[in-house]
Amino acid sequence: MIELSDLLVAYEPGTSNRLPVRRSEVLERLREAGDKRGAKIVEQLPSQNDVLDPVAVDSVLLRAHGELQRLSEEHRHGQRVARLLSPLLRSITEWTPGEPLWVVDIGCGLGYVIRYLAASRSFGRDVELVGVDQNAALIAEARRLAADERLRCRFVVAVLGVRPQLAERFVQMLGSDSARWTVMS
Amino acid sequence: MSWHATDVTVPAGLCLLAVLDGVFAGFRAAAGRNARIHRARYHRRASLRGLFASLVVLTLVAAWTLAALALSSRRGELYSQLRGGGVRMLAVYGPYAVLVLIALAGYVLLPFNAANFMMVLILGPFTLARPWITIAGGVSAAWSSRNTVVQTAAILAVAGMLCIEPVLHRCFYDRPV
Repeated sequence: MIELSDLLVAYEPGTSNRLPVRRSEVLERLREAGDKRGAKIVEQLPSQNDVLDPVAVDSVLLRAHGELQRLSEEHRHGQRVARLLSPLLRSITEWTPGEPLWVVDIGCGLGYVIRYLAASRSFGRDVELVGVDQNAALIAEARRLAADERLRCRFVVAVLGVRPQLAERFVQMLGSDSARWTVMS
Repeated sequence: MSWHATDVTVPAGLCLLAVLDGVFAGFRAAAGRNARIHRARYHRRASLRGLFASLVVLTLVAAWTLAALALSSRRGELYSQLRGGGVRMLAVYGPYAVLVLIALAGYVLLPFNAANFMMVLILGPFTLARPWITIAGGVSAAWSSRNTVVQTAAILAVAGMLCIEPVLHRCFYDRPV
């Protein structure tokens, strides 16, 4: 099964620079996969010279992620993550007292989980909450929402690549080599 | 003309269910459009909009039935047929509403994992089934009555209730907040 949002955006490898996405190529992949509804959505998106309008694509992604947050809320995903991570973070704190801790949500979208954890104050003030996504529009919206509710968390635009490289990339990106992490993705 | 308790309880029961359904329809119309974490006021307002919309639908149905009763030469017989249609509607909506309300109470009150089961097993599928259940109730009332007043009232009620969510969504929640 193809995730439509993965087809609508493309980034230059290793950077957050957005690449043009050809509507005909997206439609071809969707039709090959038999996804008629997805193809219909893409057909309705504005384009110029077969390149999808990135503003329209971001608008669709924002709406889709709003619905995804709704599902996450209905299934209390934020609460679930808090319950899962609390004992883990307590243990890490016992092993390495005094060291900064980060909870990082990779591919955070609108950053619902991170914002929920910040709003519910699930962890102590020594735990920094960070959301990462490669889509600048989603991160901008996550930042706006967090600022609107004065939540203590931050959001970063980054293309993080494959899993084995994640920790190294994060250390470089967040400018520290001594932190302990909890990585969600 | 003799009066039965059901002359009052049937329309009262249907009105109560319509208002409840309107509140939930308002809530659903607004869901997924405001990504803030704390937004109780937003949902209260949306639910109130749903409530008012359901009152509009009820007023239309009541106006139709009252006008038909006022103009009818056989008022008692017509009221009896309307009540019969209402009973058939309640026979469809009642069990559905009871199950949903129990599941909702479970979702709020039960421990974390059990509450999620309520969402997955009952609240989610039943929300998807709601339009079909609504239509089934209307068809049940209209089908078994040969009276056009009853049939029209059933169609008005069903169409009105089904319109609440998409209309509110289009008017107030078309774009993310």
